[in-house]
Amino acid sequence: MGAPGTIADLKRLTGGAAKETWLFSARIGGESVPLVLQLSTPRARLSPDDALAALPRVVGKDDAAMMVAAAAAGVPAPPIRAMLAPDDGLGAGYIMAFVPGETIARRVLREPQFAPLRARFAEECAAILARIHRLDVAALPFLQPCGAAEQIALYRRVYDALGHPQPVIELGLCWAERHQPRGRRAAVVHGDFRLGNLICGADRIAAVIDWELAIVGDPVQDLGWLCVKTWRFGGPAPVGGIGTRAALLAAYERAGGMAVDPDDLRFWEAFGSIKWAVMCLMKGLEHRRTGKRSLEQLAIGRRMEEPLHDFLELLEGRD
Amino acid sequence: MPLSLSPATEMLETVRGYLETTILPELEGERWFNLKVACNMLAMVERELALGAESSAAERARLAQLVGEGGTLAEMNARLGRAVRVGEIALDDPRLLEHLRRTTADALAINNPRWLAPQNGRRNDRLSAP
Repeated sequence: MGAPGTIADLKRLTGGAAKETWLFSARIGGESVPLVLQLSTPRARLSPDDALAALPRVVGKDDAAMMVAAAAAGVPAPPIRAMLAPDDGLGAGYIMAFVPGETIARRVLREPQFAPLRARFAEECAAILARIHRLDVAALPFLQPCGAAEQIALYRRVYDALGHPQPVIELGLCWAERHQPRGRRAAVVHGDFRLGNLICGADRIAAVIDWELAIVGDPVQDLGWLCVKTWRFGGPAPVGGIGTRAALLAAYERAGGMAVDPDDLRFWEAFGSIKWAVMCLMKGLEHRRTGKRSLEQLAIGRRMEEPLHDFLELLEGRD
Repeated sequence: MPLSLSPATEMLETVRGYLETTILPELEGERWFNLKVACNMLAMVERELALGAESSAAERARLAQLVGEGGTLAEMNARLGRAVRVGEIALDDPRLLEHLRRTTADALAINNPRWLAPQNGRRNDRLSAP
């Protein structure tokens, strides 16, 4: 990172079970550089036979390598500035450049300054996703193959382990088993590409963050996830609350992505709702594992019916 | 339970009103956010007290039609889940779908009624990280 400096204005940005993000300024030689420290907490507290441990996660140096590869391919991703070493005493993690912009979905959806981005949001997402999906899988050997079939089995295992019967989830998993897209695809998939994980400028996406759910699988997964109603944040249109599915698919193809069967898109959107419902259930029951209740976790537990409702709507042909 | 004052729903509503109008404007950042979440949860409990018993009774009656009487609501739901999984009930059985649609809608009427509106509003972005 150059000459030694001092750290100022250290501030925690987000808190999650899986990681910690800190914003700080490095004062190096009279200059103040805003940086972000990303710490990945080891997945402690999970016993190896815990189904939750089976969810693939990209952490630490792999997470950084993922972003370096993405940036090299022209995907907007935060530049990595330094990797943490064991004698830094902070565990696994890295330091990246602070990318200014907006991550709060409601603001991107509603504030006038983001109108230029909204006008081309589906196209912007499609172009970025097409680049991500063309990344060389062989250069990212830490990414786990996790196609539709693996994910359905994985979420079923997690759901079963939680021991909280929910017939719509059961229906959703059985439906997903029967309607999964044919044929295997092996592209790099971001895994959580949606508002909230996009640092937005007025007229473009400045950076794609939160790569820890990246896998090798069906690229249509990212397109479908972007359309899941939860990630529309109250916006009226399917793609992130802003764009149409047709615009997304057309732009994706123009940007070099494959021609997407709308039924495959719908599968990933519907199965995405079921995945989010299982995650809500997982969050809502997390206190059983940690022995600690939190307001946010209990509140997320009560969000489970939102995606279940959306799944049933999709099943009956409404969106 | 003796018929003492004040009714639980009124106490909750009053507590929530006090928190929302008097305390919330004094806070910011994490504390504002957490109190906002807490107030949302109190509102859910208020709606559950008002609607929960009737919803559960209707759910139980529908479940009895689908998988037979007996057991707790959780046990009946477990039976329905198994019946769906092993194929005893077809995934497109209209009675099943109607039951699930109504049960889900009744839960949303308590947990987040706005989700049922044609253009649903979201409470807060920060509740959404997986």
